[in-house]
Amino acid sequence: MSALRDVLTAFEQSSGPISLQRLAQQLDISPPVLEDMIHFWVRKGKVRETGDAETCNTCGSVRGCPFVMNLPRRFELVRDGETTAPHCHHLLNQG
Amino acid sequence: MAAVKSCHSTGPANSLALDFTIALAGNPNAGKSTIFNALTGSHQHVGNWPGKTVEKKEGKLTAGGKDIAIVDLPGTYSLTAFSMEELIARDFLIDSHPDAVIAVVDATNLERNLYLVIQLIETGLPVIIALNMSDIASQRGIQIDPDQLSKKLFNMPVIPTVGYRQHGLDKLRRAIEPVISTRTTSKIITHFDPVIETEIQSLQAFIDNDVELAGYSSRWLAIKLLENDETIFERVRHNTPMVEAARYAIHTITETTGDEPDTWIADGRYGFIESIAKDVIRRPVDSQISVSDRLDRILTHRIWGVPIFLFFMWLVFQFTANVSAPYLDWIDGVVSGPFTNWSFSLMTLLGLSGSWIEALLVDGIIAGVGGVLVFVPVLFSLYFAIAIMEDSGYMARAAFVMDRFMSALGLHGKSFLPLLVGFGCTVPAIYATRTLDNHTDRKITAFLATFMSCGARLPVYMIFGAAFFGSASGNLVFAMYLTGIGVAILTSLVMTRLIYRDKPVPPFVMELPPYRVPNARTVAITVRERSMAFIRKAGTIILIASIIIWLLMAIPLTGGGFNDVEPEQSAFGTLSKVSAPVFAPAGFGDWESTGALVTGFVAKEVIISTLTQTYVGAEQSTEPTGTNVVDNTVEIGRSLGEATVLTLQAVVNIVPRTVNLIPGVSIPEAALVSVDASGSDDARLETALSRNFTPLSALAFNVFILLYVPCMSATAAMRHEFGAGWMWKQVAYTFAVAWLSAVLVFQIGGLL
Ligand SMILES: Nc1nc2c(ncn2[C@@H]2O[C@H](COP(=O)(O)OP(=O)(O)OP(=O)(O)O)[C@@H](O)[C@H]2O)c(=O)[nH]1
Repeated sequence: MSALRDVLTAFEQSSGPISLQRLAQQLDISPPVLEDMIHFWVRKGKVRETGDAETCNTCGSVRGCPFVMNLPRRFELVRDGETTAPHCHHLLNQG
Repeated sequence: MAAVKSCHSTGPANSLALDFTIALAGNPNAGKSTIFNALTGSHQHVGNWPGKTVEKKEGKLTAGGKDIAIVDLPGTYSLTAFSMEELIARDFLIDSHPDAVIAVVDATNLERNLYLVIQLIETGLPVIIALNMSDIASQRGIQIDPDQLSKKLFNMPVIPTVGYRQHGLDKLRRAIEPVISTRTTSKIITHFDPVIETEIQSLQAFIDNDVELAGYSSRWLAIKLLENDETIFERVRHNTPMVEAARYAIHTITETTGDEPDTWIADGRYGFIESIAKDVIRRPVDSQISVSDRLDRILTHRIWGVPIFLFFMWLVFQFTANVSAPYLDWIDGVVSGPFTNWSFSLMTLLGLSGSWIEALLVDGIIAGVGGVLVFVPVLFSLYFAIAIMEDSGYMARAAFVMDRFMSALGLHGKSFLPLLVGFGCTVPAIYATRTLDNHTDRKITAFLATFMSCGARLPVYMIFGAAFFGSASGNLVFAMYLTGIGVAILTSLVMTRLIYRDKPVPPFVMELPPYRVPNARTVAITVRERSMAFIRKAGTIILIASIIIWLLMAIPLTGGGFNDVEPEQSAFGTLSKVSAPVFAPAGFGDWESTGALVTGFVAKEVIISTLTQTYVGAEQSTEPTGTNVVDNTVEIGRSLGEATVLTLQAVVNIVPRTVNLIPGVSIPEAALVSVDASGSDDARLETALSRNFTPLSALAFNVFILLYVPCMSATAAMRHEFGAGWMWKQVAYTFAVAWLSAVLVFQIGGLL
């Protein structure tokens, strides 16, 4: 197997946070392709996306909160036995 | 050999009743609409895809004497069944059998775009590739060899285009005619791993023998079955032996290789793309390193990243403290000068001079709310600096650098981003932890967020900074923020031991947004909204708190009468005195400061209100001076001008201050004008503070304020998110940490 599998291996073996751009350089693929590959693993349930804050990051109030920041996306490995946790939309809907 | 049966018997694939149909496919933003418009001119028909809200555009094009309908497909990255756009695009391709597909490809991003192109080729339809955006590609020095690309893609025509200048479109038109006349489909070479190819072949045998599936490309259908595509299984449901064979194949491949066939298939496509890119694309060596990459090499450097982040923070607080100070003094002067005077006059006019109502207005509301409002310029500068960092893309790097730092220490603090939100306000920081999936991580991060110094704590440092540290007050503010981060890190250390039991920190990949010049409008909106939130708070929570504090100070408990009581004997003074001894070891055991800490739970700005009311309000029997409206107004204008000059001077002086950080270097700062705001409330509070605190006890007091429970709202948010138990733990922990730290500062500092 080639690059696609390497992406997952890189996730597994990385010793700390790494930027998408950096990982793309390491694997010698273009960042957009790496992004697509990561999304492939997200769909497969091996990786999950966190930090997509637009919807989650409000104060829970209707008007939202001016202190909300636009947070960049992050991806992390789904550990064995873990299911992809409920996304924050659910949390918001409760309130 | 791919076999697509022409389906013209069921009528043309377009609503224009033309004999020939071409589909236009491509990634979003590859320039599809531009090419579509250029090819069709005014012959367009816009509608919707049946039963969908997605727009469907059709147009007419004449090529080689033939009238051809072009159908614009939704922009997609793939032809899986994961989004409505993808489903629409692929259903059209496999059900309507267009005579050819034009794939509009973004030449600057060829690898990604090829992923779709390969899937288009897999459908078995003839594909023509429009290599669009070739102008930008050559600007960036990216060379793509179209002939070589064509060869690699089974001799499908590849035509470089510049959509918006109509370059290459004639060539594109000329390429269409031979393709649709001969329906030149590709001879697909096998590009998947043999495990997959073998299964594809055996499934193809089933498909070729099924007349009901005669309209499909058998290879494409086989690939989709192996990809476990449910919508396709639905279509072939009638052929039970094939369905079973497909399911069995999926099962066997997964069992024997450890990967599902769709992974093998996607991997095969990427491998194919890699092999194409190697021979077709040439990039100049240095184009790989964009400006953004270069900046990132410095700003997110493994070792220098953290110091650089700290340096930027230091700059932010130099900016905040020095630039806003003149305006702070100006507003302060206006509030405690003309504004207070006018209030006195108004009261006299109403015959309320000397009454408790006057005292409530002047000593309670104006001192309390006004005392907080004067800090609007400070918060404005802070929010401005933060907004610049956010909008330029640096904030994401800061979070990344700090995350990596924490992770290098083996700390579970998870995401620093919610913590950075805490520099504005703790409440959204607690809610921002929702972006984390793991509940334990969320709880811990919210816990740490309370130590991040929020905007409300800033006024307190500012006033103490001015009273004890003069022009170095920016350094005090910086030190407080650093202390907050430090305590958060130490707390994370404890938590890592206690809760995670040293489980390793899971790694993650973070997307760093591109750097850009901050957008003036975005920054202005953010700053305005955040400042307004601060002002609104002054008009609500702080107003109410000020009135209550005034009342408590007017009600006699151990002597005197209403509004005629020594502060110490008031309800507020008496109650505060009870808890005062607790803080004696930290050096600030007087009832005024203790009382301020209690009321500070409402909101940390209230600490300022309380201190003003207790230290200054008591002695503020200043009678109105010069209430002449004209004089006052002139004075307000004059001092505003002066404040502006001083601010400009402060901005200029950031340069020498920064340069002077280098050891052994000393360049003078500009000093055009100097201020004297000694008559104002603020100045009086500063004087009172310098009488009642020593620099050391002031420092201990500030440390306590930084670390103890942020405020009522944050505590409520904690409870809302994590329950009462966690909330109480947090209240107890923050109080203990705050007390211990303050005592340590005072006691150890005393020894030095
Ligand atoms: N420099 C350059 N710009 C182009 C070219 N072709 C299109 N554009 C510009 O690229 C932008 C996107 O083009 P569109 O035609 O809207 O892209 P699209 O693929 O239809 O996008 P979606 O509607 O999202 O699918 C527009 O601003 C075009 O003017 C090109 O060859 N060179």
